Amino acid sequence: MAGPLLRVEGLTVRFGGLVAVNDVHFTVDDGELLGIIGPNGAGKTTMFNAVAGAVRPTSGTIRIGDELVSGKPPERVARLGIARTFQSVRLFKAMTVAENVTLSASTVCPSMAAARARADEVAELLGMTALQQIRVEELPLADQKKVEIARALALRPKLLLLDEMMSGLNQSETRDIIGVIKQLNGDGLTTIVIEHVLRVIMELSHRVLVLDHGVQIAEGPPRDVMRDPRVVEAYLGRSAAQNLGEPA
Amino acid sequence: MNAVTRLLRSTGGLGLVVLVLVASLPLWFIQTNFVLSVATLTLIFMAASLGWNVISGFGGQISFGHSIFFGLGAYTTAILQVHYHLNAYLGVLLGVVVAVVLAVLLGAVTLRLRGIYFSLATFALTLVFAILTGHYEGFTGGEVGLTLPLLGDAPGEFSFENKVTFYWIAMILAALAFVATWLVLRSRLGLQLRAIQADQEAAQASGVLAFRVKLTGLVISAVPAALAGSVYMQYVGFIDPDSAFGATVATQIAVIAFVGGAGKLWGPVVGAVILVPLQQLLNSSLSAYPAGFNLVVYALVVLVILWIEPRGIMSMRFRRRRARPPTGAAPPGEPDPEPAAAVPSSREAG
Amino acid sequence: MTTLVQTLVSGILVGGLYGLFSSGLTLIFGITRVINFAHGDFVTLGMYGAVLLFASAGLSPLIGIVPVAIISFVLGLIVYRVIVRRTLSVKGISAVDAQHGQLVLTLAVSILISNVLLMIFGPSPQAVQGVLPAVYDVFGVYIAQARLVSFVIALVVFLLLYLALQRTLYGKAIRATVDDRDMASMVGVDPDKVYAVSFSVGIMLTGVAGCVLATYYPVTPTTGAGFLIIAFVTVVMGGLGNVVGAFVAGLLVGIIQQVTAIYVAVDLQDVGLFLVFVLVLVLRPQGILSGRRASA
Repeated sequence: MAGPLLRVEGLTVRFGGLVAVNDVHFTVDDGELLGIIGPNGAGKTTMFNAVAGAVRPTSGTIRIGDELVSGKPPERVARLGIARTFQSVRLFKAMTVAENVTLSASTVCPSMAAARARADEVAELLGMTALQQIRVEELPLADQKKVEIARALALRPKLLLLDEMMSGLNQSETRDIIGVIKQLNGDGLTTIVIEHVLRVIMELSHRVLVLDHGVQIAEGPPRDVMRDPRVVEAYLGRSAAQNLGEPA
Repeated sequence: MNAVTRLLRSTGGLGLVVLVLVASLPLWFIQTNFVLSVATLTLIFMAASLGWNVISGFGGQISFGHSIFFGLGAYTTAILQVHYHLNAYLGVLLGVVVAVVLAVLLGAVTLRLRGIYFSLATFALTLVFAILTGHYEGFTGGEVGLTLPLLGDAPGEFSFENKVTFYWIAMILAALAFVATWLVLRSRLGLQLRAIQADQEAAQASGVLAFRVKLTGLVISAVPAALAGSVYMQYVGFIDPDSAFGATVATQIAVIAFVGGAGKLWGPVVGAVILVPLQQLLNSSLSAYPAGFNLVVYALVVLVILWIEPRGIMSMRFRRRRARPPTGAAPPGEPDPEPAAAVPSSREAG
Repeated sequence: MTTLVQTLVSGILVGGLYGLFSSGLTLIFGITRVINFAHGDFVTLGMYGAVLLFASAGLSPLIGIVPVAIISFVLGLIVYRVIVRRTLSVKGISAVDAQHGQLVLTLAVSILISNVLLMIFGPSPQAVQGVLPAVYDVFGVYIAQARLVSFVIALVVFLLLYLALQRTLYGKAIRATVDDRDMASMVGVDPDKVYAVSFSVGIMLTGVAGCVLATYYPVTPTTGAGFLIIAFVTVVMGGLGNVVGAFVAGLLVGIIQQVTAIYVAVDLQDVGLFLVFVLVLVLRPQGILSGRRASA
């Protein structure tokens, strides 16, 4: 494929007087894992929602491959190959794991039989075959998060958007999910991860984009970005940045 | 045949028992016309409520306007027969066509509304239909209503001397509606409707074309309601704005399903079997009870049932609660007949 | 011209009462999220209360307001405690299932009330006759004393409600709950109490509206069905949960109804209203009088 998989240009999202995302530009290459970080209220989730079609951008364009995504409703975006998870788990609680995953498979598979087969395939990939017939509301949070991933994967996405997967998880559960994300990305799935646990981002990402108050303040390899004084300032405040001996 | 076996299995054999019982009913009660009439009306409203269950029960878009489709079925049949002397069966068919067209038009407007707004809009619209049919009396007979000509025994015109025939027709209608909703429930459409009910945004993020799915659901759900209206018209021989589009019919169709269990396959069946006879048996025009008494009892029964279980009878546990199976086994309630996904879990389909 | 003024005046006068019982409905919805399908029947109950007090004790509906208000409050409390609260206490029930349960339960309450009334009073219309019989002629526009007094009472009662919401501790707790229920419970507002009080107050306002309405509007057991849909329309126009919006929308609804009745056809007066309603729903679901944008 020529050029990047995802290309975001001049993305701005305004809610009334509030500018949640302000003129953000970035690209994601095929097979890449991009991390997006920023303090609370930095506009990470809003930007995600814009890419996923859940929020209509005020201006700017979003393309996957050659296809224009911005302005399309979320269901179309999903069918174009951008799948997402939700920050607070939003599964169909009364349905079984299999039904949850079959549902999203059913929107891209030609028949229900194919959708069921796709759900089985995804479940096996994530090691959840044994959970298939359990209702989601009876699962622990960590497993529910995996079902969210499974439901997104069933769409055969070109790009996977993961929103704060680690919130509410303990150390070993976090490790487990990190393993899953690495495995999927290792198999070639392009992924964008939002996370406020920096350690997770450092470990996972090939490249990091930092947002603060809706503005893109840094972009680059994780190590470099972490040393960027603007990033330190955004996270820790001006004085900390100065104490580190860097001009603000 | 395969589908029939699966239906029986997935409904726990209950289907077969009910089918035999219902089919043989006239053989026991053939003498008493009253029981026959109650049973026929039960089946007619059961069919309408089964239709309701598709968009409102599975899809979660609670309609208080299914009387629109019921009434359109009844009025279309009646108007075509009275004013144009059209064949009754053709009238029934056209009634369905009119209802489907209206479902598309009304759905295009109202299905963009969420939650309670959809319910209120459908409720207001059915009352609009009631008022308009009352107003334009040249066509509809106005507040007085329309009466079908008495044709005696004319099977070619949907008129039968023997009322048992209507019972059979109503039974076939209810059975078809039941099978149709069962097919919807285990189809892609059913799964997507249930997902929309649970969380529309999440469903859309999974690629569900929410508006199109809801519109399809509404259209499908209008068909049994319209057929029920047509059969009601042919059976009773009379319709007026209130018994077609009025608030009572509008809510009746929904309440039947809620009492039995909205979103459950058997909900409308159970609800109709309890509520319609109750209402008819205590009807003042047929008994010594004072006016209003039947509906007081009706309301109390609804209150008690929903007080015990707001999700309806099919969600009640009846103290048969089995020990929860260990992780990995079928969900509690009843054995899952088809392990491979899209068969609804017990909570949804009961 | 006179016809138009007459129409507007009639609309506003009856609209005040619509506004009063609708503010009751919107208060209930704003706090408890209950769609009260029995709301119209509490108007009817208030009207029968007035009829009964007048017929048996010769009490004018203007005095009857007090006992009717008390009884309505108690009835509201009973409905809330016994029926509505039940749906919230069922184990493992989802918020949506609970709301649907309440919907059908209040619908059953509606059927119950109207048919109990039918058994007691029969189907023929009843009225309080001879109270406030004067008719004023203001530059050719006729204003019935009963309508004028009813409107003034509705306005006063509504202002009392408004002051209570603004000034009293309960009022503040109620407004806090409307704005942000989680925050409200965090600062120590007991939601159950707030729910119970606002449900009962909502029903009380409705009963009072019915009581004064009886001075010029005959009542039958099924009168409430019409008021229910009027209240729904009004509440949606004013923005669900917006008390002031509901009252203002009530005036508007009264006007729309009267204009359709006079200029189109009397029996179509509600069609105009319902069509405006559906239009409002589709175009501005947050209500036409609410400045806030609809949240996603």
